[in-house]
Parts: sequence; C-alpha cells; structure tokens
Amino acid sequence: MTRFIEWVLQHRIAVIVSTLIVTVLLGISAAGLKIIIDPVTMAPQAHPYVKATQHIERTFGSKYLLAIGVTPIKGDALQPAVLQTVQRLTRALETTPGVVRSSIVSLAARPAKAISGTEESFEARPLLDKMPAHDADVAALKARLEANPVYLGTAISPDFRTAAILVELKERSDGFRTMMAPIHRLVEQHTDPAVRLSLGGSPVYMDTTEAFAERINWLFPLALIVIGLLHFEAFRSVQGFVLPLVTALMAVLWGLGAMGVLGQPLDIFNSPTPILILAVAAGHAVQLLKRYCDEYEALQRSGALTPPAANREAVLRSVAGVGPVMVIAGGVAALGFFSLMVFEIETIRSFGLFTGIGILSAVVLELTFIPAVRSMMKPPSPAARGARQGERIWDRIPRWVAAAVLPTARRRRTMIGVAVAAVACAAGMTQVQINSDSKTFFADFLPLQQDDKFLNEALGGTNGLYIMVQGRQADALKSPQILQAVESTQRLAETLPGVGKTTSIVDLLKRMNRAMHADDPAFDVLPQSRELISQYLLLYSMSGEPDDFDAYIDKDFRSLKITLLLKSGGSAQVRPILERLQAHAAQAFGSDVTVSFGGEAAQTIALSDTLIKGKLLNIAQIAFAVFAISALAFRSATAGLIVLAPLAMAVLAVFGAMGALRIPLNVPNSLISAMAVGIGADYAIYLLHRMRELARQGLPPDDVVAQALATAGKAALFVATAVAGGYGVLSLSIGYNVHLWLSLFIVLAMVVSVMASLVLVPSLVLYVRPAFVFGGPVQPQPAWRTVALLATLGAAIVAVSAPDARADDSSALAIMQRSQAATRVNDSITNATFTLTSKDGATRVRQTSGHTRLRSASSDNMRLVRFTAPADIKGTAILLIERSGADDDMWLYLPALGKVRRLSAANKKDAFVGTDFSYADVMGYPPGQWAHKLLREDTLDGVPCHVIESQPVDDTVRQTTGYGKRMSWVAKTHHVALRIEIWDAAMQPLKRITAADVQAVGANGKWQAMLTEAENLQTGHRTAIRFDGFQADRNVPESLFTPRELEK
Amino acid sequence: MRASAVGALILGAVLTAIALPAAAQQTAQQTASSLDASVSLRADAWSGSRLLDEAGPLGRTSAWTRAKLGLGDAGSVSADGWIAAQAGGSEAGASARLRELYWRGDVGPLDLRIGRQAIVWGRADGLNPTDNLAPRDFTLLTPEDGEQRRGNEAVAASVDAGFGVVSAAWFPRAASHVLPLPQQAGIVYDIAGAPRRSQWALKLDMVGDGIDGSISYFHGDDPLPDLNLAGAGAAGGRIAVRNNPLRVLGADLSLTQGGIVWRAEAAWMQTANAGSGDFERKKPRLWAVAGPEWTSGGGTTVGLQITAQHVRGFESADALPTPLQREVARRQAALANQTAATQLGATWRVAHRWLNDNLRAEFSGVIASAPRSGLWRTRVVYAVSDSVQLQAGTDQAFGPVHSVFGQFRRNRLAFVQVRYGF
Repeated sequence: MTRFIEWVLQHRIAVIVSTLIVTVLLGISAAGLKIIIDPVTMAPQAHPYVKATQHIERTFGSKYLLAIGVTPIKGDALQPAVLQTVQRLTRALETTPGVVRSSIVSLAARPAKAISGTEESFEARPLLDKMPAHDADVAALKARLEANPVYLGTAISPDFRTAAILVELKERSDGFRTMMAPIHRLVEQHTDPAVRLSLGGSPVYMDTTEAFAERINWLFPLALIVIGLLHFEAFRSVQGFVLPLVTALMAVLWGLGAMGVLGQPLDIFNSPTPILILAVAAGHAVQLLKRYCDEYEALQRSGALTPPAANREAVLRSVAGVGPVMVIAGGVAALGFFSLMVFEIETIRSFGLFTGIGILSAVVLELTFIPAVRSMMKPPSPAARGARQGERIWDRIPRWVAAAVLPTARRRRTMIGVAVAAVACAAGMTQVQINSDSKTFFADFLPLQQDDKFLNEALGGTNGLYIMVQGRQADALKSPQILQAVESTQRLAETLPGVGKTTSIVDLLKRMNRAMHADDPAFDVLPQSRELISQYLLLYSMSGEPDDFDAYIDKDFRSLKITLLLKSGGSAQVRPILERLQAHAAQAFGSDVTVSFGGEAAQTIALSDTLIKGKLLNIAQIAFAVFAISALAFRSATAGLIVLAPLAMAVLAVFGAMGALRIPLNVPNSLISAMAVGIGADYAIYLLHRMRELARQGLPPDDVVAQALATAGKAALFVATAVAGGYGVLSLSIGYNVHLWLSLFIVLAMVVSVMASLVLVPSLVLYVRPAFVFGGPVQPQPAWRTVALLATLGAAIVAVSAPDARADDSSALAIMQRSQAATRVNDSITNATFTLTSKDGATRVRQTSGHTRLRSASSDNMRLVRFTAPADIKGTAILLIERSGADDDMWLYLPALGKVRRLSAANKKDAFVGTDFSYADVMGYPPGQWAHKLLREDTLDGVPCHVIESQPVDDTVRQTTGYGKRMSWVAKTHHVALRIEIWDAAMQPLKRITAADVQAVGANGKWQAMLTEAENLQTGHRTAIRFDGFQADRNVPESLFTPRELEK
Repeated sequence: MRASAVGALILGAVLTAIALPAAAQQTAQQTASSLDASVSLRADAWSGSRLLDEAGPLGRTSAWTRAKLGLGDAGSVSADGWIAAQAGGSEAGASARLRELYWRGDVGPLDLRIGRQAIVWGRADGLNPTDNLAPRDFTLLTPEDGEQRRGNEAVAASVDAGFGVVSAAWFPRAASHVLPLPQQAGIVYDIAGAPRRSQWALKLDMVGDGIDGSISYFHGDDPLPDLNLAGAGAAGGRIAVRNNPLRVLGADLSLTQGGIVWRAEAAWMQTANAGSGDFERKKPRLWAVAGPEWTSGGGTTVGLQITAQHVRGFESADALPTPLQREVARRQAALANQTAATQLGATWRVAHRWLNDNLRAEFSGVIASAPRSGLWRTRVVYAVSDSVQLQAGTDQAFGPVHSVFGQFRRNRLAFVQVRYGF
C-alpha cells in the first residue's frame, strides 16, 4: 500500500486529470437518467402468478385495473348530466392509447348490453341506447340494471349513487406516468363542479409513486448540505467539509454513470441510491481524513518536518494505515449490495449492482484522487487544528463507552443490557408482515387514498384478481360442467372477505336463460346443455355485437376469465382468497381444463413470496460474506464473528422496529438490511483494525480499547451521524412512506450499528483476547491480495446469481434464418427517405441513395449509402461491409473533411446517422449470434406470425448490439419480421421496429418492407424509412463497395 | 522536360497498362446527364482575424457551393468554391475562391481526374505527416479545417490492381499554404509563392478485414514555406518566404479492434537542408502520429493520439551571431515545428452528439513539448432545422512565441455562425 500511495503522490497531476476525465465521461453518461417504474423489472418473472398474469394479458389484454368514479354532488348517478359525462368519458377512453377497448366496463360501454326477454326469445340492447330524458326513462334504466346485476358493483354502485368506468390498461415499459397521462387529461377535460370524479386502482398509485420518487431531486442536495455541515462540525475545517463531499459526489457520479452506460433507468428502488452512495463514500472519506488529521498533528508535534513535508508524510501514512482496512470495509459493503443480485426481481438486482459499484468507486477515489489532491492542498492551519481541540460530544461518547466496557463488572451489565435489547427486537420481528401493496406507500390523508377508499366502498373494488380457465380445444368451455365450476367458484369467492364483485360469462348466460323464460327467477341458472348454451349465444349474436364477450371469453370458447374485484390489494387480504379459491378450483374443475390465477393482486403475492425467499437468502448471504471477508482479512474466524455481532444487532433492531410499528415488509423496505450491513460493517472493521495496530505498539489491552474508541470509534461516530443526517432528510418527504421508512430505518440502523460496534466489539475483544489483535506482530499482507480476494468473491457471487442460459430452439433458429434470408437480395438499388420525428412532433427529413450487394460466395451484405439531403449532410457517404465471425468494416466520407475515415463497427448499438435505427438494425442480426425460442403463434394485422424470442449468445453480442432481448413477429407467409420488440442490455424495453408494405422484389423470391419504422420507447423519438424505386438483382458491381468509391 | 514530369508520365503509362486489360469488363453506366448542386449561405461574427493582427470583431457573409455535372459515359465535372464579403479587418471587402474544378471519368478500371482538385492523404486524425498535396489557407475564417483547403491543378489516377489500389498524381506546379505572418515595423516579407516546378506522388492503398493502410511517396515542394533572412539593413530586414523541395516517404494505417479504431501515420521527410548549420530550410525529420479513437454507444467519441518527431541534424539557433538572424531562425524553427531534436506531443478530441445528431459538441486540441505549446478548440453545432444550422466555437493557442503553436497566440478567437443550406 505504501508503494502504491507513493506512486500516486509522484504522479498526482496525472492521477487527478485522469480521474476528472473519467468523472466527466461518466457524468455525461449519467445525464438524462429518469425515474420510471417498469412493471416487468418489478415482478419475479418465473413466478407462476406472474406467468399467469402475462398469459391473461396476452389473451384478454387485462393487466392494470383503473376505476373512474363519477358521483354527483346531489342525487343519484342516473341523472342525465352524470350519464352524459360517463358517455363522453367512455367514448374518449375507447380511443385512448393504452386502454384495452374490449374490456371497458361502464353504462355507456359498447359491450354493456341489457339482456331482456321478448315474446319468444331475448334480445341484447345497449344499456344506454338513449339518454334518459324523463323520470320514467330513469326508472326504466334502473330496472334494466337491476335485471342485469352483472353491472351492479362494476358500472354502477348498488345504491346508484356512483357510476363507474372500469378500464384495463396495457402494460408499458416507460412508466406509469406515461400510462396515466392521457387518463389525467381526460379527467381534467371533464371536470364539473356538480360531479366528483375519483380515480382508483394500482395504476394511480404507481403513477403517484413515480412522481413522489422524484422528490429525490431536492432531497439529494439537502442531504448533501446536511452531511457537509455535519462533517464541518466534526472537523471544523474547509478540507473536512469539502473533500469528503468531493469523494462522495464523484462516487455518486461514477455509480450513476455506470447506470447510464448500462442504460439502467432510475426507479423507486434505486432513486435513493445517490444518497446511499453519498453517505457511504463520505464515511470512508471521514475515516481517512480523521487518520490524516491525527498523523499530521503527531508530525507537527514532533517538529521534525516542515508543514508541507509533514502534510505529504501525513497523507502517505494515513492512506498506508487506513487504506487496507478501507479496501476490506469497502469490499464488505460492496459485496453486501452485490449480494442483492440473487433476487429474482430485476430492479433489486440492479439496485445492488449499482450501489456496489458506487461504493467501490468511493474506495478507488479515496486511494487515488483524494490523496493526490490533499497532497497539493495547504496543511491544516494551527487555528483549524486548535478548533478541534477540547472535548466534544464526539469524544465524550467513546469515553462513556470505554467506561462502560473496560471494568469487568460494568461490561457484564452492559452485555446483559444488549442481550435484553436483542430479545426485545427479536420479539418485534415476529410481528413483521409482508405486504407489497403499493397503497401502503402513501399516507392516508392524501387525496388518492381517499378517492380509492371511496371507490372501494361504493363499488366492488379497485383491485383486480383474475382466474383464467382454459380448455384443450375450441368450444371446450361451452361444457355445462365447466361453467358450473366457474359459477361455484364465483359464488364461493363472493362469500370471502374482501371480495366485492365477481363477473364472468356465466353471469351473462344465466341472464339469457332467465330472459328466455319471461324473467322467471327460477331460471336464473346456467343452461343445462351444451346445445342450449350454443343456441343462446347464437340468439345473443343476433342483437348484440361480436366483441361483446371479449372481456369474458375468447372467440374460440377455449379460454375464459373470471374477474374478481377486491377491496384491498394487500398480501394479507389477497393470500387467503387465493388459497381458498385454488383449493376449490382443484376440486371443482376436472382435468380437462387448466385454471390459473393472475392479475395485479396475484402479482403482489408473487412479489411477497419472492421477497420472503430472497430476504432469507439475502441475510444468510450477507452474513456469510461479512464473516468470510472479515475472517480472511484478519486471518481469524473470531474476527468474522466479532464483526457480525453489531450487524446482527442492527438487523434485529430494524426488523424489530418494523414489526413493532406495523410497518410492512415490502420491496423498498426489503433493501434496508443490505443497506444497514453495507454501511454498518465498516465500524467494526475499522475498530478491530485500529485495535490491532495499537496492540502491536505494545499497549495494554485496556489502553488499546480506550484509544481505539477515541480514534476509530470517534470516526465511526462521525460517519454514523453523517449517514443518519443524510438519510434523515428523507423524513421531509411528507406523505410518501417509502422515504419516511427509509429515513427511519437507516437512522435506526446507523445508531444501533455504531453503538453496538462501540460496545460489542471492545467487549468481545476484551473477553476473548483474540490472537489476531493481541498476538504480536504478523507478516503484513499485500494490498493486492485483499483486492484479489474481494474480486474473487464478487465474481463468485455474480457467477452464482447469473441467470441460467436458455437452451437454443432449433426450429426457432430455422425461422430466424429463413427470415434473414427472405430479405437478403443479391443486390439492390434504392432511394430512401428518413423521417425523424421527435416526441413533440418536430420532424427532420434525410434522403439517401443506396446500394447493397452480397459478398461473393457469402451471405454477408455490403451496403453503400449516400446522403442527398438535407444540404448540411449532402455528400456524406457510408460503406458498411458485414463480416461473419469478425467485426464489420465501416468507412465514412465527410465532404468537409475530404477524405475517407475508417470507423469502428464494433459498436453496433450506435445510432445509424442519428436515426432510431442502430447499425445492428440496419445490417441485420446474424441468427447464429442469438439463442432463439419459439414463444407462440400470433396474428399481426391479419398476418399469421411466429413470435420468436432471441437472446444474445454471449456478453459480446449483448454489449456490441446493446440489446438484451428481441422479440420478433415473423410472418409465416413471407418470413419478413413485421414487428420487433427490443429490450436493452439492462432488459428495459428499448424500441419497437415495425415493417409494412412488404413487397416481392427481384427474381429470386425475396421480399422487402418498403416502410420501416423504429420507435425508441425510452425517448419517444421515432424514425420512419420509406424506400422508393427499390430494385433488386440489378447486377450492382462489387467494385462499388470499396472505400475509394465513397469519394466519387 | 524535367525528371519529375518524366517520372509522372512513366507512372501514367504503367497505370494505363494495368487498366486496359480490364476495360472490356466495364459495367454498364448511366448515360443521362444531370446537375446536382448544393449551396450554403453563411453569416458569421468573429472576435478577431487569423492574420495575427488585433483586428476585430469581424463580420462575414459567404456563399459556398458545390456542384457536380454528370455527363453519363463521359464522366462528370465537379466544382467547389465560395464568394464572401467581410466587414472589418485588413481583408475587408469581397473575395472569392474556386477551390476545385475537375473532370472525373472512368477509363476502363482507371479512375481519372483532371483539373484543380484537393487530394487529401493521411489516416491519422488532425496531424498528417503525409498530407502534402492540398495546400491550405490558414488565414481563412471558417470553422472547419477542411474548408481551408484548396485544390491544386493535377492529373490524378487510381486503379484497383487486385492487391491494392494504386494512385498517382502529377501536378504541373507546386502549391503553397497561405500563412499568417506577424507584421512588425522594419520587417518586410518577400513571398515568392509556390515554385513553378512540377511534382508527383504515388500511393498504394490496401484494405483488409478490419485493417487498411497505405505506403506513399511524394516528390515535390513543401507546401509549408521556410523563412530566411534575405537581407538586413539599418532600417530592418527582409524575410524571404520560400517553398523548398521535399521528398516524403510515408505510411499509414487504421485498424479496428473491439470498439476502438487505431490510427497511425509516419513519414520520413527529406529536405534539401545542408546540415546542422543550415537554418534556412527545414531539416530532415521522422514524424509519427498514432493513437486510438473510442466511440461509445451513447454518441460520445474520444480520440487520443501521441505524436513524436525526430529532427536530424538539429541545432539551436541561439548560437547565431546576429540578433536578426537569430530571430528569423527561431521563427523558422517554430513554423517548421523543429524547436528541438526530439519532440513529443499529443492530440485529443472529445465529441458528443445529442438529439439524434442535431446537436454536436466537440473539444479538441493538440499539445507539443519543447517548448510546451498547444492549441485547443471548442465547437458546438446545432441544426435548428433541416436547412438552418447554428455553430459557435473558440480557438485558443498557447505557448511561447517561438513555439509551433505559441506563434499563433494572437489568433485566439471566438465565433458564431448561422448557415442556411439548400
């Protein structure tokens, strides 16, 4: 370490400049990060409930249930003014992007039909076929609703006070605010003082969560100021104020830069990451600064060196002394966060990864940049040093602790007190309840909570739980036995607490049967034969519309959906419902059908299940990592156990308080144990290290403990105070419980872990008298060995938690190979118009002329593109030559430069001349570089397609394309991919490419889409490429595809 | 007929001999004639000139045009030029330049160009030891280096010989850069202009998978003139500005590895210098430039190059007997970048694109040792629409006045420009 730090000081300018360059580059990368919630990253994708939810979404489009309540201030909801509002809103929602049109439930929805008997049959008429003008009309409408109870509790409250529009929203990757924005606009447009409009359902909560999470934008600077002021109070010097913050800020930039490089957006779980990194980084900086101040003070007292020489020597000694332990402590913290990568939930994995990177960045900066800067700064002035003299609270606490642990009798009493506290916390832990319902994120006084509560009371509920029943063949679900099972499931569900309403096709069939029998209540039952069911459906189709049943059953009568509206989405309420219904379904349905449970309420349970498993695994893993690293670093298993002791206290305190205060264990709170361990492990490690140093100086054990508490213990107090102060500012986020919980638990964890470290570590050391502290001098271990050890452990964690490689699917590969071949003409000539459209609708147009040709005896393509407009890029030409098994070649000719330049084609993720197409999109994706899987068959605009999922075979392909996954809709007819959904390397949905106007070209049975459009789902920008005059097989000469041709 | 012209004719004959057998395989070509032109109208404001004077601020409007007349089988005619009007400064008034006007056609596999043309060599970024064929006007106020170039009359041909592309060019006369010369009382410059000597150049380009490169030879006059004291008297001195013979044997290379492009270029530059005591002409030198360029997936490009030069027979001008001789020799050494026997330096370029390439920013520069001097630049370009572009930037040179970049310190400037293209 000494040689390393000498090298740093010798090359301090280079170290500072190169660090700043890296920081600037990562800072650029960090710019533009935004806070969104991508539901895919939050759900454990392998969980059966999540899979079922996705299946239901694919079949019925149902995912996120939104309730819009329309309640008049006076009177009931059947008055014309209210019904007109409902009608206008419904019509507007039918054309709103993201809304599943077929599943809209409202009095004015097109599928909402009143079934009523006629003389010999029945008919289905729209509930609101005409707007009621008189009392008689209103009474008739009320009668129709009472006769069709499927709408009571869904489209209107049973007391007729509130009309509702239930809307199912499609999942999207760019956040709930984008999902909800058109809904909010609609509601604003229909605001009426005579009517109360209420919104309820999980999309509202997630939308608000995204908005509240952005409070971090002002909380972070506030945390910065608080941490800075606490440091200033501790050190009373500008250096003490500035340098820890510089380290912390740069570490934050590095961590965020890494997020930017990997295309990872901020979400509610990693948006507080900057404060976390800030706090941990500042903590390491304080330890080093404290040591530096002590060393400088000692050198000045000795008077052997001039102030500048003493400054340099103090820098050297402090880093040499603290550096190794900083590497260990930083490594433990980083591994604590990296260990979150075992979670199945992607967003938690990325939180762990990036926080770990941020902490490692802090350690790197503390060992390089900060010593280099400090060696160039003026040493602390006598006045500043004087300001630190005298006993302050930071000195008193260690002294009190020393007094409590040094005498044997007092130590015994102290330990008994600690044990009692641990037992109390353990008792509190038993009360912890897992509940991932997003409603708990918010305080009850917020309007969204009141609206949701109101709607839950008025209607069946605002939380959707779906049961999907699937038969093996078409018309399977016309079986009376299966429909009876559906009905029994519904009836059972309606008896369960928390279930407000159930609907299914059975309700409609029963209504048809009764209407067919002159509304005789005795016939309010399911038809008893398959034939009768078929006939009823036929009769319905004579007056109804073909899409009326889309929300209940598919057109083949193979899959049906039972919708349960729940009053609460909390795990504690949903889990018993699910368990009861699953048990019933296992008995009621035969083996000819499969029954699955999904929807957002079921996903909440999936999340909770995963949390339990993940949390247990996480705690065990962190404990092992902390034990192993500490034991290896100090060459003593006892050291590992001693370091674990205060951390165990911190974890006990956090979960004990969580249970005692009835705070739910959910996704954001699940990260707290990792945070507590990550930050808190430092204290014990620094203390043990200092004790060992002092013991080797020959001090008696009591002096070792007292001095270690007065130095490293004091620094630990500084750190804990700063971290607690930083997180304390989150308590200002009024109404947003996620921030309040974080604030509460981190402050608690800091207080407990620092106090437990100060008390337990010395007590255990004095009790055990371990050899690694008191055993005399030992051979110092090179720093590289510690680094290598940490790196190996880190790599092991990453390797263990890496997802399993998926097996290739040869038929899918064949489809993708055919797809690639389908558009590979021998050669082509075309003009193209690129229309680039920004999110706000502004357009830019670029025109090109281009040639392609396959290389001789190869399927590799060559492409020459010349820009012909606009004027500023006219004459620019690009030559791309694909090379299987090697990097492609690419040259660019810029007229202003007057020469041809070779460019790197390895970064295929680069935008192709500023469009939303990357070079990989333009050149194509070699099928052999991707593992393909045939997911299903689908129809796209009437064209039957194979849906193929493709994942990169290795990290190189992932990195060079920037793509983590593609999903292609390959037409069965001409094999052209009509749609490609693309996820980035961090598995965030990135773009969607669609192809249209596919035409046969050339003489060899090839095809070309004349219009291709790419939409960047993260920016909203899109590019359309329209080909004009496309000609294939025109004998384009190979000589055209040489760099010198670019200049012509 | 001079030896150089004879050499060029021989080269032409060789190229023709290579080309003719393949002529029969020539592919069908377009026969219709067409005219393709673009115009860029510009209005600029500059904080100063590039004439090492204190002029400024300056306003400038200009029209740049580039046109190509396709003649079907008969090839094409390309032209490039500008006209400008400047307000302020010693060059106020109207000016114009025809940068290029040449005919290009395929004669069998031979790609032939005849007329005024800018031939740009060198794969390195910014500093190109082999780039001696197209002169530049370093006083021209334009944001882009490439636009300072102008063509030289030449007959140029290239042919794909299978193992590589052989290019040859013959110039009836040499060409000289236009340099800013510091104006001083008592100092008169005697600028002779480019010699009326012909010159020729030959190059072999080869392209492989992931790599391309060339070897080249130039036989002609150095476009960068030398300064020498032509006369001195009580009233001052007369400095001759002369382009002297130069032979350059060069090679360059670019290759890609992973996401990095490596570029390198080196040349041995032989001059007619008589030895270490000759301060009137550049000394022979070996000059090499090499470095990587890295492009991120996010639109950032970072380039870094190291440049190294060894001057054969270097000797300091400090020992010269008269102050005026010494001063001129020092200026010559600075202009020729021969201020030390071995010089190291670096260039860098950091660029980033935003908004789908509609906004670009670049920070680039060069730094040289012995003595330390350099130049750094910033450029920001924003395309307001498909036809309107805004550009702003700064040029900042630093270093002692007798250094390669320090001599241009007075040319520090900032500018803004608006362009309308159609």
